[in-house]
Amino acid sequence: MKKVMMGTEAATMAVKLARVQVVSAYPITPQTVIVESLADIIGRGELKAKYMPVESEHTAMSSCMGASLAGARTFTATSSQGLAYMHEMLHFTAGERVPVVMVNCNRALAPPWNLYCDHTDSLSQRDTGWIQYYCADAQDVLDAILIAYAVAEQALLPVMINLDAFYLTHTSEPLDVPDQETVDLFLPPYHASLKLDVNDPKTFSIVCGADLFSSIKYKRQGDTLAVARLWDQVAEKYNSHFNRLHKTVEAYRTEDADLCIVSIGTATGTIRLAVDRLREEGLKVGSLRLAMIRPFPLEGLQRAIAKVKHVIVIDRDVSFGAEGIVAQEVKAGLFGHRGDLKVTGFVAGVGGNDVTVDTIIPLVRQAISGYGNAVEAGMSLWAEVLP
Amino acid sequence: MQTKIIIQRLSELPTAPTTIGTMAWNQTGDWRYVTPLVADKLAPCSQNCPAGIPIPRHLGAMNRGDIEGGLALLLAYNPLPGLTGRLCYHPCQTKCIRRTIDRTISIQKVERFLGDLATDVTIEKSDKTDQRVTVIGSGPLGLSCAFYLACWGCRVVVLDPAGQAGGALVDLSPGKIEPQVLSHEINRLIRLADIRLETGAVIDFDTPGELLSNADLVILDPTGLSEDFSVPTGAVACNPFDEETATGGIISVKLPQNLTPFKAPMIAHYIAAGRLLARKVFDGLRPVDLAQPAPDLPLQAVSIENIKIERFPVSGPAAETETKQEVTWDRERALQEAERCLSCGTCNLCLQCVSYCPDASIRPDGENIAVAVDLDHCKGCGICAYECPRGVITMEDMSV
Amino acid sequence: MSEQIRAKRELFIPGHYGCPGCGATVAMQQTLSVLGEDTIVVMTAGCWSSLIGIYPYTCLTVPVVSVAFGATASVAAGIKAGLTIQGNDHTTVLAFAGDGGTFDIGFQPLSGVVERNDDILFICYDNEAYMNTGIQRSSATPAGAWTTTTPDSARKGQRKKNMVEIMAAHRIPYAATASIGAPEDLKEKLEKAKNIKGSRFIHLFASCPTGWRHATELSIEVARQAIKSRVFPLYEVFGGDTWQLSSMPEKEGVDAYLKHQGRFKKMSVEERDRMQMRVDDDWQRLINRCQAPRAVG
Repeated sequence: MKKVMMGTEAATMAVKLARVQVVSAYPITPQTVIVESLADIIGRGELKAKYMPVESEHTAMSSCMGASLAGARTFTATSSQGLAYMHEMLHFTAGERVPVVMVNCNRALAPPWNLYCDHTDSLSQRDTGWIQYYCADAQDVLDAILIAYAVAEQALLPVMINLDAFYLTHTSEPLDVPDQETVDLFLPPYHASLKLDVNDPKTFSIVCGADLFSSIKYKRQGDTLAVARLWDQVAEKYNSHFNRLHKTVEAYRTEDADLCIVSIGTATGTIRLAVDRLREEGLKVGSLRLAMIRPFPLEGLQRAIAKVKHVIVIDRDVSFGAEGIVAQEVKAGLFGHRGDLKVTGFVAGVGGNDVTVDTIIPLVRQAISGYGNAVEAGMSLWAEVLP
Repeated sequence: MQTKIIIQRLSELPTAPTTIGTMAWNQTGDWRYVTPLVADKLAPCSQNCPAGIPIPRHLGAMNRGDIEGGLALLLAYNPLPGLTGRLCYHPCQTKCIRRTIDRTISIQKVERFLGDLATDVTIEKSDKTDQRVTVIGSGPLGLSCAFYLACWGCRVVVLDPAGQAGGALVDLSPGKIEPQVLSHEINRLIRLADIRLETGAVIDFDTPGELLSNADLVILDPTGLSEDFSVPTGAVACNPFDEETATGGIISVKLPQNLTPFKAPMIAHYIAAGRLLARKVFDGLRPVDLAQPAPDLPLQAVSIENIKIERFPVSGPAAETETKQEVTWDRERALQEAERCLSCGTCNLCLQCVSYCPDASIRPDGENIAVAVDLDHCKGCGICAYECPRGVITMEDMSV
Repeated sequence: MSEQIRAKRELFIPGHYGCPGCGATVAMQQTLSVLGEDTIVVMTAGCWSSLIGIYPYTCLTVPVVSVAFGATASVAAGIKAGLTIQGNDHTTVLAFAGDGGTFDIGFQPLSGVVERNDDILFICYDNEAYMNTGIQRSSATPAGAWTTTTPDSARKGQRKKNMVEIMAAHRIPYAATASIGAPEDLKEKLEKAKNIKGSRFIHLFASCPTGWRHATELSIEVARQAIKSRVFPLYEVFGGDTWQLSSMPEKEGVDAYLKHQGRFKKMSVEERDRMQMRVDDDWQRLINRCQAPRAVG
C-alpha cells in the first residue's frame, strides 16, 4: 500500500508493524512526532503495548533495558542531547545484550542550541556497542526498523536507526507500507533466550575480574563484527518478502569510478545528483553510502572502491581535534589496503546547512586540485565557514 | 563446600555477562578471628533441679508438638516423672525467669502430665550385653540406678523382699501417691529399660540363688529396703554423691545425712543418686563389652546477664490462675504451659540469630532442634552471640 | 553444615564479599525471606553490587540485574512493564539501592517512577554514606557524622534528607521506614508492600560497622538504638496522607545510640544537644502527622 509519510511517521508505522510491546520515551525535537503518535496508537489500542512516558532519556533507555531483559520487544526514540543523556545506558544495554531498537533523529549538539541535522550526536556513541544504521529515506526508515528487530533479536545487540533531523524526520515522501501478515512472517514474536527468569535465576552484569573481562569483551566484539554480514543476510530475506533491499553499503556508479564520494544519511541522494553532473563533465565519479557505521562495513567498502583512486568523505559531524568522524573511519578501514589510494575529508552540512549539488561540486574540484592555501595540512576541508 | 565451576574456554562464556553458579565455593570462614559456639547451657530452673533435668528441652519438644519426645527427654534424667510430678518440692520453679515477666512456669504440673501419659515412648538404649547387675530393693534410688544400667546394656534384675514394689514409696499415705500411679510408673520403668523385677524375693547371701551368685555386681538400695535389712559382710559402702569410684561385688549405698531417713519431697535427690551411682559403677563393669553411654549434658550454667529478657518475644498465653495441686492437667493445658517457657540457655529455634546473620551461616541443624553454624562461611562478626537472647551462642577463640 | 540444611532452595547463599557484621546483607536476607522466589531484584552500584560476588558467581538465587548508578528504579519499572505486557502479574520487581542510589543519583528516576505509580517495590538500604567507595557523605548522612568527605576538620552540618516525606508528597500508595533491628516489623511491612499494587517505598535502616565505626557484633543493637532514640522512628504512610506510627519501645535519649559509633566520637556536648533537639522536633512533627485527621479524597 502506497502512502505519503514523514520519516517519523514511517518509524511509528514500523514500530506498530513490529508489534513492539514496550515503548519508553522522553520527548525531544524532532523526535516528538514519533512518541506522540505511539502514545496515541497505544492509547487507542491499535498497538497492544505499554507506553512509559518517562521523565528523562536516561530513564527511557534504562526502562527499555529492563523491559527487554524481561523478554519484551522494546522501542524508544530520541535525538541529540537526549542521546547524549542516555550515553551511560547505551553502554549498559549493549553490554547486557538486549535487543532494544531505537530511532535517533540526528540533530546538532549544543552549545549553541540548534535543532537541525548533524551526525555528531550518534557518531559520538560509536563506541557504546550499538549497531548503527543511517537511513537514506522514509522507506528505508520503515524497512530498516523491521530488519533491525530481526537482526537485534538474533545477534542480541541493540540497534540504533538514525534519521537526519528534518531532512528525513519531517519530509513527506511516498512509500510502500507492508501488510501486517507478511511482516509477521518476516518478524515472528520475540522469544527471549536471555532474560530475567525466576525459574532460571541468574545475576546479570556482576563485577568481573581481569581474568574473564577481556574474554567477555572479545566475545562481544566478535558477535558485533558478525552483524555486518548478518544484516545483509536479513536484508536479503526482507527483500525476498518485500522486494526492497537495504544493505550495509549502497554503491552508485562506482564500477568504473576513479573518484568515490562516501557519505551517510540523506545527503547521499544529493551526492548522486552531483555524481551525475560530474559524470556529464567527463569525471569518473561514483557515490558510496555507508548505511551502517557500527559494525563498520569494511568488506562492502573495500569491494566498492576496488578500482577507485581517490575517496572523498563528506561528514556532517566532527571530532574536535581530529577531523570528520566518517573520514576517520574510512581512513582507518582503508589504511594499508591499497598504497595508491588518496582520502580527502570534508565537513559539510552541520547544524542545518543544506548540502546541495552546489556545495558538493566545488568540494570535489578542490579535492582533485589539492588543498587550498587556507586549509592547514591534516585537517578536513570545511564548507559553510566564514572567510 | 560447593565446587567452583570454572569457565575455561571462550565457547563456555554465556552470551551476556550472566552468572553460572553461586559464591558458595568462597570460604569466607577464613576471615574469622573468633568462632560462634552453639551450646545449650543449664537454665536457671535446671540449675536448681536436684536431678539436673534440662527442663527447657522437654518443654521445647512439647512446643514442637512432640509430646512423646518430650517424655523421652524427661525420662533420660528422671525415669519416675509421675512421682516427682506429685512429690517433689520443685525448687526449679523458684528460679524460673518467666517470673520476671508474669508468673513462673508450672514445671511440675507439666512433668506430672508427661508422667501420666499412657502411651509408651522410645528411649535410647544400648544392646544388651552379658554384664549382670542385681539391685536389691525397689525404692526410687534402686529403680533409677537399675533403669540407667539397663539402658546402657546391663542385664538388670531388681529383687525386692517386700510384696509390693516401690520401697519407701509404698508406705506413703494414699493421699500423696495413689497405688495405681506408683504401679504405672514402676511398670513403665521396667518395661522401657527391660528389667526383671521380682517382689517377695528371698534374699540370702549365705546361700545365694542364681540371681545373686551370677551377678557381676549387687547393689543394695537404701530407699528400697527396710532399716533392719542386714547388710552382708564384704559389702562396700558407697555415697553416690562423692568423688570416689565404686568397685566390688556388693555395693551398699550410703546416703548423706540430709537424705536419711527417706523424705518423699526429696524424691528427685534419690533419683539423681540412682543415676549418679549407675555412672559410678558402670566404669567398673565396662571393660568387657559395654559402650560408654552418652554423658549427661555437660552443661555450663547459663549466666543471667546473657539472658536478655527484653528481647524475648513473649510467647504463650498469659498465666492462668493457679489451679489446685491435685488436678492433673489435660494435654491442651500442659501444652499451653510449655509454650510459656522462655527456653533459657536452650536453643528453641527462635531463629533470631538466623534472621540477623549477614552471611546466611547459621541455620537450623539437620534434626531441626537447634541452630548450627556453617564454619566454612561464618565470618565471625559475633552478631549471633550478641543477639541470642538465651545465652546459647558464645564467641570462642578456637586457636587455643 | 550438612547438605540437608541446604536442601530447600536458599535465596541467599553464603560466600559473598560483605564485611563482617554487614547490615545491608541482613537487610537483603530479611527482605528475600518474605518476598520469596518469585522476585526479580534490580540493584545498582553500591555495597550490594560489589559484595554479591564475582563474575560468574552470585550469592542470590533470584534473578538479579546490577545496573548503572542512577537507573535502579527505571530499570525496575521497565522490567515490570515487560512482564506485565507478557501477562505476568505476579512477580515482585524489587529495586534495591543504597542511600546514594536513592537519595542522590537515583533520585530523579525514583521520583519519575513513583509519580507514574509504576508497580515496583523500591527498598533503600540506608547505611548513611557511600560505603562501597570508602565512606563518603551522601544526603542521607546525618548531621555531625564523620565520613571521609566530611572529615573531622569539616564534619557534616546538614541534616539528613527525609525520603519518606518526599515519597509521601508523591502520593505513593505505600511508604514506610523499617529497620534490620526490627525484623518482625519489617516482615509485616514487606508483606503489606508485596500485596499493594503501584509504587511502594521502604526506607530500610541498615547499619554499617565499617563506616559507622562500631563493633561488628553491634550492628543490630545499633539499629535498635536508632529506633529507641527516635533517630530512626518506624512508621508507615498510606496513599501519602495517612501516617501511622509502628510499635516502638519507650523513647530514650540519643546518647545510647551515639556511644557505640566512632563516626560520632568527636561530637561536642553542644552538638549532641542540638542533635537531641532535632530528633525531638522531628519526633513531635511525626507524632502530629500520625494524629492528624485523614485528608479528604
